Parts: sequence; C-alpha cells; structure tokens
Amino acid sequence: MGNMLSAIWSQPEDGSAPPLFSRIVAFTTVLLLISALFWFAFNQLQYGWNWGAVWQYRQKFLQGWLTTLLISAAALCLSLLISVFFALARRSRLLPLRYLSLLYIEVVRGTPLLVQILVFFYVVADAVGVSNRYAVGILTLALFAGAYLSEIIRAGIESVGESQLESAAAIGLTRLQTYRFVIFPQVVRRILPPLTGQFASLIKDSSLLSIIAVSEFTLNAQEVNAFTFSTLESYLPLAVGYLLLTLPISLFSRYLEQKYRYAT
Amino acid sequence: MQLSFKNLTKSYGPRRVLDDISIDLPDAHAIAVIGPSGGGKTTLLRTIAGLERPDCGQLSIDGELLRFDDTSLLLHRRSIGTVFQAFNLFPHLTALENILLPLEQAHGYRHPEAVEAAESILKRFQLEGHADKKPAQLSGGQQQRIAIARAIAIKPRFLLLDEPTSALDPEMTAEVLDIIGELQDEGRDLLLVTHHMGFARTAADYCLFVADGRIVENGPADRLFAEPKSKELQQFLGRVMRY
Repeated sequence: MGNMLSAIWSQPEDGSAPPLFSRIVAFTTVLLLISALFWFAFNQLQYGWNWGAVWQYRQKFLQGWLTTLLISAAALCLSLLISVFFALARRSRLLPLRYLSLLYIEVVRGTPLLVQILVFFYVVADAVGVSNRYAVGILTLALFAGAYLSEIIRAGIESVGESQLESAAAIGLTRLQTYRFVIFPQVVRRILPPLTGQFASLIKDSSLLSIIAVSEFTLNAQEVNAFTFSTLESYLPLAVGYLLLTLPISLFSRYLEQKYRYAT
Repeated sequence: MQLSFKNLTKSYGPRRVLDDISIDLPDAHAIAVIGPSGGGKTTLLRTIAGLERPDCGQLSIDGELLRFDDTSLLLHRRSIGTVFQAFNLFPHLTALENILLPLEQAHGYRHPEAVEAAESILKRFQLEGHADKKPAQLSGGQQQRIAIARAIAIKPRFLLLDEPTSALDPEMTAEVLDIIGELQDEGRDLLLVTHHMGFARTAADYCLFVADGRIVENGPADRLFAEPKSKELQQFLGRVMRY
C-alpha cells in the first residue's frame, strides 16, 4: 500500500518530472475512473443504440470535419493578422487608430458570436454584395477570435519590461527593430499557451457557422441526426472529431513551451 | 569629453528633476556624477544618452549641439555606449547574441565580422566560456560585464554608466569596477553615476555633485572630495563617508 502511494505521489519541490512508471499508473487510474463513471451513466440510460444508421452517413461526417478543419485553419491565419494589427494599433501614437482598436475589441468581445454571424451575413455581407457564406463565415470567425487574440498579444507586448525597451533604445535600435528583435520573440514564447487555448476555442466556435448553413462538421451532424433520429450516435462522433483537432494543438503548444523555456 | 549645458530643464509632472542647468565643463576623460538619490543624476545621464528629451534648454557634447528629433537622437544613441543599473541584457538572447544585436542591426556589421568583434571582447573580459549562456544562467556581475562588453563592442565615442554596480553584491561590484577602471586607464572617455565614493575619487578625473536638479558643485575629483566648498556637498560627504 505504501508502495502504491509512493508510486503516484509526486514531490514537486525538486522540480524534476516524476518517473515514467508513476505517470503511467496515475494517468491510467484517472482515465479508468472517468471511463467507469461514463460507462455507468450510459448504462443507466436504457437507450437503443443504432450505430448502423449513422455509419451510413460516415462520408458526410468526414466531409463536414474536413470543412471545419479548412474553415478553422483559414480563420486562424486571418485572425493572427487581424490581431497583430489591432494589438499594434492599440499602442499606436495615432489616436483614432487606438480608439478604433479599443472599440473593435470591446464590441466583439462583448457580444455573442451568434449575433455577429447573423449581422455579418444577413446585413453587412448582403449590403456589400458578398454572398459566399464560407468567406463571410471565415471572416466573422477571424474577427471574433482576433479580438481575443489581440488582447493576448497586447498583454504579451506589455509584459516585456520598460527596462528592456530602454536597453533597445540605448543600443540604437529603431522602433521597428525593437519590435522585431526584442519584443516579438519574447511575446511569442510568453503567449503560446493562451494563444493555443484561443485557437482551440476558435475551432469549436466554428460550429456556430451552422446557423448560416455553412456545411461544416456540426451542421452535418445535425442533419444526420434529423435523418436517423439517432441523437447520441450523431453527436458523440462530433465530440471526438473536435477533440482530434484541438488535442494536437494543445500538445504542440506544450512542446513549444518546453522548447522555449527560459527564466526571465 | 567636453559637456556644456544651457538652461537644461526637465520636469516629471510637478517635480523638476533638472532645474535650469547652465554650465560649461572643462574637457575630462572620466567624469563621476555623485549626489543624493532623486537629485537628478540619472536624468542628467539619460539626457546625455539621448534617452530623455529635456523640456527646454541645450546640451552640447564636444562642441556639438545635440538635437532632439527622433533621427538625430537615434544616431546619437548609436554613437555612444550606455550601461544601466541592472537588467540590461535581453533575456531571450545568449550573451554573444546580446553583443551581436547592436553590431549587426544598428552598425551594419556583417555576421562574421560581428562574431569576430564580439568574441574578441568576450575573451578580453574573460567571458568567452559564457558566450552561449542566457542572462538567467549568469551571475549579476557577469551580466553587467557582458552589458559593458556590448556597450564598448560598437566602439562608442564615450561610455555612460548609470549606477552600474548598485544591484550587485560587493564581490561582483569589485569585478565590474575593475573593468571600468581598466577602460578608464586605456583612455576611454566615460561618465559614471555612482554611489562608490572611493571609486569615484580614484577612477574619475572630474566630478559633478548633483542635488535638487542642479549641478551644485564641480571640479577635479581630488579637489571635490578633499575640500568640498558647498554646504550641500559637505553634508552629503559627511553622511555617506560616515560608514
């Protein structure tokens, strides 16, 4: 019993990772416990599973999953550009730019994505004559995520101490060089964890595009549900599908965090 | 280095940190600036370093009037070396990269030339074994010596040091002061804000006593310490020399 306890007991003060064996034991234990809980819950359900009906629509799931992947990837790249721009605008010496950035961030963060999608698609896009719902969807998603990202980036920029900006000025770097060689390399390392968290949210938020009939993962699952009346069989693969997208991102972020670790 | 100030004034809010300084100083190699905390020493150094714009007034260095537009200040800052109290180095770069950054980005060195220049300076300061370490892996004294190495690698017109040892313990202070003394011996012009009266007296040939935003007294370092004329300096020396 004492052995068991010492195998799963980690002493954080010495800073080293616990032994592999302990980690495997602990992880498996947790996994088993949670699985058991859900196993019990699903067993209580008295539900007539019908995976066969849903299996027929596997192509539809795959197609929706790929669409979500592409939309998210596009929105992710676009949101990075948007957020860097607004993070810098927020610190601009030009006051109107600063207020534009402030207004954008507050409005986007303070209103539901659902409303933003509807307004953008049925009002703004319609007015400027854009009818491609995929383009509007990607843009709305990028603008939405961009507001959160730009606050993360701004906080990252501000976390680089005044003394370093001073040093950069003293060695004769221009403002642009200071951003490029001093601020950004440090900001990127510091904001990686919150950034990837935001990316994972963006992927899940893309499910809301189903309301403007963008044929992404969630909409396809909803349709399968409508065809087969097999609700859980339609939505459980949905959860797994999103995990397949978000899990690699957060593992990648852990890896980068380790790689760039240095004390400040 | 010869400094002239004319009506130099700087305020932070209601506080006047430089109060209408007008003086032509004689040519000197090593100038020590002493005085009580909050008296304006650091602001004076930062103005000379081109890091601070005065509210009004003029500053000439070696007969050349310093202009305070962005471009002139940038060029001015590139021509001199400045070392601060602490935390000079960029934490994401190694010691070597810290020295390379200004050489390559501000002074147009090509990479091989810059590496050669940086390595020879690190070697001179006996820091070559630390070239690939990040600042966090170095002691305070080593960090400060690398900061000095970075400042002189660009062959500056002169060196400005703002209390370079005040964040260090006595042993590290000695190792940093040794280097500054060495630089001074080889005739490099420098201006040093310091709390080490002994060092100011031996290493500097000229000394400024700054208090309440003014240069209260100035003169050859030996004279200033041996026979302080103003009441403020007498009191100040009386206080700091007591222990």
